[in-house]
Amino acid sequence: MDLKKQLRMVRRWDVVIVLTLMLASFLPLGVFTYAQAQVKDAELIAVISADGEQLAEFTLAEDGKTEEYVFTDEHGHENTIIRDGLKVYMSDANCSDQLCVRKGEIDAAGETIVCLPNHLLVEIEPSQPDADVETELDIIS
Amino acid sequence: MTKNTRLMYIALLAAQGVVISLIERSIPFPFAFAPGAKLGLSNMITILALFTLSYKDSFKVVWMRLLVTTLLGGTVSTFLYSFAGAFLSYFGMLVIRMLGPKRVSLIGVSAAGGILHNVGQLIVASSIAQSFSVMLYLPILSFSGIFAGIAVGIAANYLMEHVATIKKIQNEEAKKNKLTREWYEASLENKWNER
Repeated sequence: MDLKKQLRMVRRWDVVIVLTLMLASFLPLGVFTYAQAQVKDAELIAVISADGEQLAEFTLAEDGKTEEYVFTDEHGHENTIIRDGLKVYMSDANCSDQLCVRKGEIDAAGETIVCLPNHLLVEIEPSQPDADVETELDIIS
Repeated sequence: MTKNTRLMYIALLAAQGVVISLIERSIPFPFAFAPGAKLGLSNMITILALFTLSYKDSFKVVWMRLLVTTLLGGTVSTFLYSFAGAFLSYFGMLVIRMLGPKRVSLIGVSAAGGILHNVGQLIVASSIAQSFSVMLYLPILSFSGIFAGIAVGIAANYLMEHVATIKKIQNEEAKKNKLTREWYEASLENKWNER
C-alpha cells in the first residue's frame, strides 16, 4: 500500500486539531512548572499516600542512609518503598502490572511512582510549598 | 440491509474489538514510563463503527466491546481506564467527524481519538491516585497517541477502501444519514482520482 497516497488525504483541519491537542497536552506541565517556580525551597520530600491519604514521608538528603517503608492494606496489597540518599524507588510490589517497580528511581520535584492497582502514590514535592500554590493545585486536581 | 445483517455486523465489530484489545494487552510495554499507557489499537473498530453505522449502533459497538473485554480478564480499575478512554475518544471523534470530509480526514479523526483515549485514561489515573502530578505524563502519552492514531487511521482507511462488506454497509447507512453520505461520496471521489 502506498503511504504517500494515504498521507495526501490529510486536510488542513487535521493538522490544526492535532497540533492544538498536542499543545494542550503540555498545559498540565506548564501549570506545574509555573507552580514550582514560585517555590524556592530546594529541599525535597517524598510523600507516600494511598487513596489521597498521606501515610509517610521521607526527606531526601545526601546522608548515605537508606530508609524503607512497607505499605500494606486490608485488601492484601503490599508495596515496599525505599529511599536511598536522594532517590526513591519501589523495590517490591504485589500488584498485577509491576509498572511501579519498573518505573525505577525518581529524584526530582513532580516525579511520581504510581501503583494504580494498589491505589498507591509516591510523589516528590518541595518540603515547604507555598500556601497559595498548594491550594491552587488542589483546586485543579 | 436486513435487521439481522446489521446486528451481525455490530456483533462482529464488537468481537473484533475485543480480540484486538486482548492482543494489545498481551504485548508487554517496553517502557514503564506512565501508568495505564496503551496504544489504543481498538480505536480502529470504533472508527469503523462510527463511519459505517448510525450513532446509536456505533455507541452499542463501543460499550459491548468494553464490557466483554473487561469480563475477559480485566479488573475494576482497568475497566475504569478503558471506559474513560474509549468514551472520551468516541465522543471526540464524533464531534470531529461532523466537520465533514472537506475539512478533516480519517487520519485526523483517528489521531485526535488516539490522544483523547490517553487523556481519558490519565484523568481516571490521576483521580484514583488523587494527585495532579500524574497528569504530567500527558505530553509523552499524547505523542504516542498521535502516532498510534495516525497508524490506526491509515489502517482504517485501507479497510474501508478494500473490504466490500464495509463499503456496502456504509452505502446503506449513507441513504439514511447525510453526514455518512458525505463521507461515503468523498471516499468514492478519492478512489476515482487515483485511476
